[in-house]
Amino acid sequence: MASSLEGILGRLDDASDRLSPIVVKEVRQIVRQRGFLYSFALSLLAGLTIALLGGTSTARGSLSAGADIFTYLMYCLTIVGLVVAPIGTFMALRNERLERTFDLIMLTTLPPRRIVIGKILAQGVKLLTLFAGIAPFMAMSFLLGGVDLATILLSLTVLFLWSLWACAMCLFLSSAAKTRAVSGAMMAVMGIGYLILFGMGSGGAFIYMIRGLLYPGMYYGYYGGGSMWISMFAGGGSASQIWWTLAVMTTFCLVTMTNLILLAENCLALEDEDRTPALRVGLLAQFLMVIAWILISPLILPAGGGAFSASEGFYTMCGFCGFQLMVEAFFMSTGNLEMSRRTRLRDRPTRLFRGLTVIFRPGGGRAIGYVLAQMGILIAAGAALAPAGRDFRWLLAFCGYICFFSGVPTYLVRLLAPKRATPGWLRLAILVSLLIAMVTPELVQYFGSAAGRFEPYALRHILNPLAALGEWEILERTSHEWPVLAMGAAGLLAYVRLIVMARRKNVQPVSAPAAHAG
Amino acid sequence: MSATAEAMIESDAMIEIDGLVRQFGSLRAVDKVSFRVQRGQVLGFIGPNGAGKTTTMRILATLDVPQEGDARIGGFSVVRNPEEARRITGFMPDYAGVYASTTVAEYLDFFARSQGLRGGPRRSAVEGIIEFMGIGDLRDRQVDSLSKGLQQRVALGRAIVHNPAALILDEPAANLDPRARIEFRALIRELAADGKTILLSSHILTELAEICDTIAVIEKGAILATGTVDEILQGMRPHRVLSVRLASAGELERFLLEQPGVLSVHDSLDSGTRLEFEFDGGDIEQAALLQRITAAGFPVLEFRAEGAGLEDLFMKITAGNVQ
Repeated sequence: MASSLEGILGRLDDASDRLSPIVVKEVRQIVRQRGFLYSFALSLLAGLTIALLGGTSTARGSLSAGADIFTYLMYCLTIVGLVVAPIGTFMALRNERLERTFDLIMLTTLPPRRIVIGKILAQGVKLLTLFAGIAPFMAMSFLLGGVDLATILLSLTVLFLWSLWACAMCLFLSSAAKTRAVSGAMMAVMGIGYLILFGMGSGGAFIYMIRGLLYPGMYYGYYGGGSMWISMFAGGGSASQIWWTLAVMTTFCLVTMTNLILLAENCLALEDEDRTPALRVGLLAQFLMVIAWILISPLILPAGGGAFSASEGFYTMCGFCGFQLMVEAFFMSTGNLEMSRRTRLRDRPTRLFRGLTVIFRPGGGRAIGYVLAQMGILIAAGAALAPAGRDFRWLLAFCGYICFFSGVPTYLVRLLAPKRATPGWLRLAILVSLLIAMVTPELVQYFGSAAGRFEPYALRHILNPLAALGEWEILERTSHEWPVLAMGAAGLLAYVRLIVMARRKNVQPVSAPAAHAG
Repeated sequence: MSATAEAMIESDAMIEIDGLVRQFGSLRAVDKVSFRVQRGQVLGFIGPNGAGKTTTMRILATLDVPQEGDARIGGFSVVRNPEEARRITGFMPDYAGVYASTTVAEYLDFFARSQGLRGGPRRSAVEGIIEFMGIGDLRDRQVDSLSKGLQQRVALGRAIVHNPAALILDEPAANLDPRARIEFRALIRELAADGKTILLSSHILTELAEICDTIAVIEKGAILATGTVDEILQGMRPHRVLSVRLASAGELERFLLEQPGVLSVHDSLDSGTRLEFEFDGGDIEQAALLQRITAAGFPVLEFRAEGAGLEDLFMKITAGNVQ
């Protein structure tokens, strides 16, 4: 008996070799942690209480008890999935850093990506265990009627996916916090964020938002109306809109989760191990996905039945893609121009792929080239979608501002104060110039010369990108669009100069270690 | 034959460091450091705080990259082939690095898995380490609840769980009580006897003297001396320093200065009953000198060559400068 048990345990142990070592370790730790045991006990208690109240309600003749039980159980799971598990993920990596065990893992054969994925999968196991604890009560909601199996499964799947997304986000935040102080500050901000979200209308607004975000199926089936996401993407509540919304949300969740994992990998990798190519591919995929949604939407959804109008499609695309471009330009234009020695020594792509993958590879101003390539794609898609010439010029101005405010300050600092040209200082320079540009027109308005002081829209306002893009119609009427485009051209020139600067830095020969075995 | 084996056969040196440079801002933490550790040797890496020991060791462990130069472990460059170098290296930093809610066996099992060991080999590696370290009674104890000495022991087990050919140990016995230190030293001796190449830094120089075959002294990022203690002393002081102790003070100083090979006599010690003097000659000449002293009627109680300890050597070589 004992030997057969040992045999089974041995086989299970062998089978565990197929899992990531991080998953095995984290799961072992999780099941011993008090936090997990409390969460499990509390979720069981909450499930039992909800089921008892639902049962009482059914006994009194209520017909919606099953749906009510399901809704409240989903609220409980939402808290577990979007609050408890993500905070656990944040803490897991934070502790690894504080206890200095992370370096020890980095010394093993595990690459950072496997470490990050392992940590998220471990939280997935934790979530599945907590979900499994609630499963009997979910079955009760189904048996009491008012909710079908497909809705239950769909809602649980969507919640599970978004919970993993939240874990990936927290893992990224934790990986970005390099010091105890920053990590503590991030935890405080997260705590305040959760308090605000739960505090809004005694949690009602938060629950409403989550419900709309996560359970379109449930919403559709039981409340008849469309959630905010359905309204946003499909505008109504037909079956095709529901599935379209689900498809969009799921692809968005998966692609952004992948990028969060890649971002975390970048933060965790040693400084000299450049892992940007995969991240750049991921971000480009996300960028193209948004454009594809907008372009495909009219083909999937019936006209007037939730499909975007040309103007809605254009500005939605510009909003999403423009935001991504802004963030990318902010970080990529300010990154180190010089590749690390290890990266330069190991960066030997074959001739075949050199041309194809040039913008994904690190160093040499390729990051700026990558931003410009995406900008080109956005402008091309914008040209196809723009309802009028003015809208297209608005997009050009948007891209111009991105180039100007990320390129010009960066170039000037690199040129005039090269010793200060670290990523931190460059990013500060961008933020300060943006702040100055936004405040100066208003100061001139009130303290400037009498002439034109109270003019509602003067040339000086083009300095402020928000004011200029927000009042583009007025700006075009006053023929101020050309100076804006000239600013964009200056930004583009700065980008080109940065690329030249970077290429010069990277043509200097790197001192190669003597050739040897390996 | 595997690439690892081929690479290792090529060179006799297991660890080769050539002109390493690591700069942090304006501080040059490691300045053209070069030395070698032969296979199966134990090298003591000594230097004052902030001398560049930990930076050099982190580079060897592939946790940092030098701006110039390279280091090879078993023939694999830590700059170009860090993954291969990691496979044959075990690194133990100056902290244990233990997990909460993890038993000793699970801790070792995790690192065995992370090093790519699977199934039976993984289990036997973990069992082997537990037996070697003598921690069988602790296997189910939570690793974070152990004493510092036992945690260090488990950490050493972690570093060797994948049976690396080279071991890099940064202050492994720091903060341990005398008993734990002695036990730890015995473990390192066993590992050295097992043929592992060990690079070891410590502030406890008497301990290093007992374990190490060679030493490398580093200060302000630069290597000041490498070799055995005797070789370094020989380099610093080409002549022997001999000491003679008499039962009563006499005119030995004048007598010694007249003898062939005696270069100079240091100040007399112990009220003139003991003298130290520099002598240029080998063992035969030294024996002949002793004969002449006793023949001259001096009551010799003791006659020996003064060997400087590692601490003396360290104090003589380094200036105590901290960066």
